[in-house]
Amino acid sequence: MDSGDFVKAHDRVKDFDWTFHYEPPTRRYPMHYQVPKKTSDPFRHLVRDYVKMERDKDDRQYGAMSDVMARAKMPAKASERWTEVLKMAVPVTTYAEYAAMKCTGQLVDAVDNAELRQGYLAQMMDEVRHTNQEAHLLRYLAKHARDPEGFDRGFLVRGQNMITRAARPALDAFFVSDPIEGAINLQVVAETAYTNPIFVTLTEVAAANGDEATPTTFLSVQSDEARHMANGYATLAAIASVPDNLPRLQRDFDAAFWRQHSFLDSFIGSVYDYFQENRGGSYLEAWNEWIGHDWAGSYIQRLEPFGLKLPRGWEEAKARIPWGHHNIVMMLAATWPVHFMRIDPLTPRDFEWFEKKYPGWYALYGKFWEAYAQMGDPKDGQVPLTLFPQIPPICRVCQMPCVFPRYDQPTVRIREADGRKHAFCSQGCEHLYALEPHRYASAYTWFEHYDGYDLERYARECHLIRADGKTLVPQPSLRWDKMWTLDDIRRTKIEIQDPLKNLPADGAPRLMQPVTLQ
Amino acid sequence: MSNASATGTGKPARDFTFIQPAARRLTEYEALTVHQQPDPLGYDLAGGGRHGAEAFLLRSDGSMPWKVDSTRLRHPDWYRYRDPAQHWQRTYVRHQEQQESAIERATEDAGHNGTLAALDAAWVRDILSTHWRACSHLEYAIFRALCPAQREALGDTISTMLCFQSFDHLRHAQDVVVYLVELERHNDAVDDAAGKRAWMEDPVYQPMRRLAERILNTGDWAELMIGLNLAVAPLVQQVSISSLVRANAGANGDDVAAQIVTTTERDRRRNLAATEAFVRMVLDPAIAEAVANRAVIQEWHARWSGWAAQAAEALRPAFAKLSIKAVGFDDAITRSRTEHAAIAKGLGLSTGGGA
Repeated sequence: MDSGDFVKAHDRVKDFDWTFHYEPPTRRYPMHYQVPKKTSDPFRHLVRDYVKMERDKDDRQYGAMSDVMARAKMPAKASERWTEVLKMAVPVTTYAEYAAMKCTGQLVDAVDNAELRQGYLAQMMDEVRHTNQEAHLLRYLAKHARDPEGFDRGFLVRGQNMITRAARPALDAFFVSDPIEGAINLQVVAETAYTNPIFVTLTEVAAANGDEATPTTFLSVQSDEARHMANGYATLAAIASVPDNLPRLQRDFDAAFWRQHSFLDSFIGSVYDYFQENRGGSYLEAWNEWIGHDWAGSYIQRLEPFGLKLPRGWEEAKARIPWGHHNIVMMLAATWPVHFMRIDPLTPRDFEWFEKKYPGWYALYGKFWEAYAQMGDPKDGQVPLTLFPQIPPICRVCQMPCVFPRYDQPTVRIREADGRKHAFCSQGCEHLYALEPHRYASAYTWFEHYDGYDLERYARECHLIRADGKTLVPQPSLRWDKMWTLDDIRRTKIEIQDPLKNLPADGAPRLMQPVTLQ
Repeated sequence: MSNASATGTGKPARDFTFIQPAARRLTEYEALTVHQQPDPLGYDLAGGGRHGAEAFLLRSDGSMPWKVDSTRLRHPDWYRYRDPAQHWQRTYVRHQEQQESAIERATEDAGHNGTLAALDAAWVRDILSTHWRACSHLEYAIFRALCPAQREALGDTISTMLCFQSFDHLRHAQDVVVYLVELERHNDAVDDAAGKRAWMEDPVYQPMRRLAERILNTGDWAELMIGLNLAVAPLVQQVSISSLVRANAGANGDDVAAQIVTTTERDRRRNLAATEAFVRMVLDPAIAEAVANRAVIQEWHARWSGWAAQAAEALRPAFAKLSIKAVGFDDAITRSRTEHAAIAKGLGLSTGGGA
């Protein structure tokens, strides 16, 4: 087919719609936006081109993984510190893909624009692809990594884990509301701002630490993401071109940015900075380049002529970036028995790197990590949780521990509403709650689920015991000769207690001012 | 389950042992598909946790992200469903790429060897440009309707299967368009706009358009899948595409059209098998909901069969436009009714109700 025929075919495949005649069309999803019928076309491929392109990419990726990499036992040779974090990270990224598949299904239905719909359909198939690719990566690591336990159950336990659960409020926002609101969460914020740090920069870290399986998978995923960003931009430009859409767009954009930032910056920053062994750049550097400069400084500013402004939480988020994820990893390490990975203690070499990349780091976190390294031996029966006089509650909205922007200066606020007490980690999360309280009526925190559990019961119910029936999946070090067992954890007599129970509430949740739209 | 890794030997299983395989061993399809959709009352919180159904962010109307009443059918564990084709993305895309490559080569060859130029003008104008192109709108409607169906479906294996079905129908719709674009270079009788005109105005296609609008308005994802694969495919696509286009293509010298339709029939068989497996799962006498489910499916089947039969029976005039006829309308309708009845019989459903 020559280029003239290609254009002709492409124009014709966008002309299948007609105006309903026999019955009124049903609206399945709430739509607060007007979408122009004709816009720019973000996806100029036919099904035929698409399946060829994707098959080639699949053959390269799966071929490499099943052939040379498996035979050379490459996964078992990667840095164990790095490989361990993938036990918790990959189940989260896989769910992001699945949630994106749901989002694009809504968009195909709701957006009455053939150009945009073409792009959404291809993206829907891409998201099935990515879900399968990342599930394949997890299974591949279960088969080939030195320690398979954790990889083998990531999808089973991610809904029960204190940290990985927190992905849900961010990622569910892709598909539980107005389809355009979902697209703003997925395409405009998560994919355009955050997939480069996840799939490009993180793969550099992986490769530097001997892990070739993750880059092979993630770079193949990322090769589709540019099209998704184009979908996001085309959607956003179409919406912004209708002035009546602007107030709602700004509101949804503000909310989407805060939801995605709340989880993704802590998540990516933690994986990035704390699990490198052969160290390179920092997350702060990656954030400044990809999100501060490219996304906010270039991508969003191009939409300013339409009246779209940087999200209202931008400055608060920027203030949380240097330290936010350090607090989350400290919480992760302090509560290691309830996770499903082994957490390698930091070394003096790591301390130097952190101090260089984050001046002032040692004064804030150094003592904790020194103590953590001392508490790894099960003989001593010490869990670093006991180092803290007060455990932070979990935020009702973002489900993250309330340790922002720094554990010693938290912006946590305790409020009472709708017959329950809530902790909010920030003004941004409190605002989201106050804006739509009914959407959190079935949200429970990890502490509310497991309050009163001792650690042994938690380990048993939440699948944290290894195949030998006694050793724990989570460990506070990589040492095979000092593995904690159920007996060890039982001796600590630690019981999970919801800190929110003892914290007094201070009034009802409040909206940030000025309130532009409710 | 207290030990997700148990092998009985103390050695790690190195696989996803928490997934219950349908057969003896976990397949790649199961490993990469099952337990991707959250199940707050099931595996996510070991049976529901202490607060019952959990949702981190409800829909803006306050309902759950996935709703039990998104279908009238009930099942205690939607995650038990397995697609008989065992397709995950790689196997599915490979399969479609093979089909598309074969069509592309056949079209190219037919252009070079003069087959496309030699096609009878009435066949090209009346059957390909008008009839088949009009029917491509039905395919597009099915593609669109299956997208929200996969969004709402109550399990990952069902959602993934519906994604592939949706993509099938977009492929079918696009293949008609692309073939006509290729044909246009060799044969002056192509009139691409004729299909849209017929779809909008010709009385022959109005029952089919009405059916397409009903398809697009169907909110119950299980009803849609059952209606499409147990009624629309054996009655409408069998008559309009398999009989009128494919079965007459050979006599009219059009091997390419026959090949394109053959690939859609392959997809249709796969989707029928997927739907039959689904129906058997919800009618399994071992589940308490089976009796109520049967009544609902029977009601759907009767209604959709009636709609589909109307659309198929209106096509008699389209067959009359065949100048060289290998299979006529009466034979086509008879065959479609036989196929439709056989499918229903295989599932223990009655066919009384319009077909």
